[in-house]
Amino acid sequence: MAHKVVKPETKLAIFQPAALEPNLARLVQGDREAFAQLVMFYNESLYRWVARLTGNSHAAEDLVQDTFVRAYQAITRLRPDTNLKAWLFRIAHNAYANWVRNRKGRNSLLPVEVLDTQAGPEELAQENETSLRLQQAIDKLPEEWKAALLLRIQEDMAFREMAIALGTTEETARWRVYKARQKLMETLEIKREDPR
Amino acid sequence: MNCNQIREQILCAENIGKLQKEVAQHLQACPTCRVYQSTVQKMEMQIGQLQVAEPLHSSHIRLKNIEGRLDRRNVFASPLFKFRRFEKERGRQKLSVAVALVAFLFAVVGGLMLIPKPIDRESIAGLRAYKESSINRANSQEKKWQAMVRLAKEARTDAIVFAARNDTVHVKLMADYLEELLQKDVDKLISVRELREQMLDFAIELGRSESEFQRLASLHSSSPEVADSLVRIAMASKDAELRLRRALQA
Repeated sequence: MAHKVVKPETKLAIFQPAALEPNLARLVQGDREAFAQLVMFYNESLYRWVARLTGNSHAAEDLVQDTFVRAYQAITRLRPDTNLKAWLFRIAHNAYANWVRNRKGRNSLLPVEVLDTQAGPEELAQENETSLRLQQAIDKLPEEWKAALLLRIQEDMAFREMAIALGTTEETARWRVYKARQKLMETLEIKREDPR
Repeated sequence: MNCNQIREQILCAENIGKLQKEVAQHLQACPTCRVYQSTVQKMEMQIGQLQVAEPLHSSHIRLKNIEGRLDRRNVFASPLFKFRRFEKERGRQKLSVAVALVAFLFAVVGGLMLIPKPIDRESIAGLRAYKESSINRANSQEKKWQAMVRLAKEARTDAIVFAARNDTVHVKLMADYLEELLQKDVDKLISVRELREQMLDFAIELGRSESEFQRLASLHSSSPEVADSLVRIAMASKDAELRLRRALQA
C-alpha cells in the first residue's frame, strides 16, 4: 500500500502551530481548550515516532489517539513540574509496548508500510535504496533500542528526558542509544578502521 | 584515550556534534576518527530525514475523534462511578468470565472449608491437630479443662483396645500422644485456681490410670514393645498426677 509521503521538515508547516505551547496549569484543571492545544502541539511528533516504531500507519493512528485519550484521563493528576513532552511519550511508549505484546500474542505481523518505496527517477533510486537499507536496519533493532534512538534523533530528546519517556534511568537511556548506534554501524557495514 | 575509546565516546554522546574537549582534541589530530564521527553524524541525519507515511487524518480530525471518544467515555460525568466503559464486547466478556471464575473459586474454597476434615488417627500430627482444635474451640478455661480430660480418657480407652489387639504401632502412637497431652496441656491449665476441684478429680483418675496401665503392661510381657508403651502411659499419668497434687498443695 503506497502512502503519500511527507518529509519531516515540510510536515512542520502543516501543523503550523497554532501550536501554542500547552498551558500546564489549565491542563491540570481539565480545560478542553488547553487539551486541544496539547493535541495540536504534540500530535505530529508522537505520530512520527510511533509510526516509525510500529511500521504501520493505521496502528500508529490508533496508538496516538489512545495516547491522547489516556493522557486526558490522567491529566488532572499532573504535577506542576511535569515534563509534558516526556510524559506524553511515556504514555505512547506504554501503549506501544501493549501493542507489541498483543501483536506477538496473535502472532500476526503487520506489514511494514511506513516507507514509500515507489520507484522514482533514477537520481532518486539510490537515495531510496539507502533509505530502505537504513529503515530495514532500524527495524531489526530491539524495540527498546529503536525507541530510544528515535527519541534522540527525531525528537532531539536529552537522555534525562528520554529516561522519563521510556520509564528508565538516564544511564540506561544512554546505553540503549549507544547500543543502537553501534548495531546500526555494524549492520550498515560501516566498518571501523583499525585503531592506531 | 585511544581510537577505540574515542569511538565509544562518540557512540554514547548525547550530541555527536558537541563532544568533550578531550574527544574533540583527539578528532583534530586523528583523521580516521574524524571520518567515523562524521559517518555516525551522517547516519543520524539520514535517519532524521527518513520519510514517514502521512497521517491518515489531519490533526483537526484527530482532535475531533479524540473528543468524540472522551465524550463517549464520559470520563468526568460521575465522580462516584469512575469505571471505564468498555468499548469492545470482548473486553466485557473477558471481565465477566474472570468474575465468574473468581466467584466459582471462592465458592469451592468456601465449601471445602466448611466440610469437617476427618481426624487422621494414624499420625501424631493428626492427633495433635484434633487435640488443638478440641481445646481451642472451648471458650472458657473450665471447658478447655473438660475437653482435655475427655481427650485423655478417649486416648486411654484407645490404648487399651490397641493393646488388646497387640497393635504395637497404635499403642506407641497413643503413648506419644498421651505423654504430650499430660505434660504440655496439663501444664497450660494447672495454674488456673478455679479448676481446683476438677484438678483433684483428674489427679485421682490419673492415679487409678497409672496402676491400671502398670497392670496391663505386666500382662503384655510377651510383647515388649506394647508393654513398653503401656509403661510410658503409666509413667506419664503418674507424673501428671504428682504435678497436679503439687499444684493443689501450693
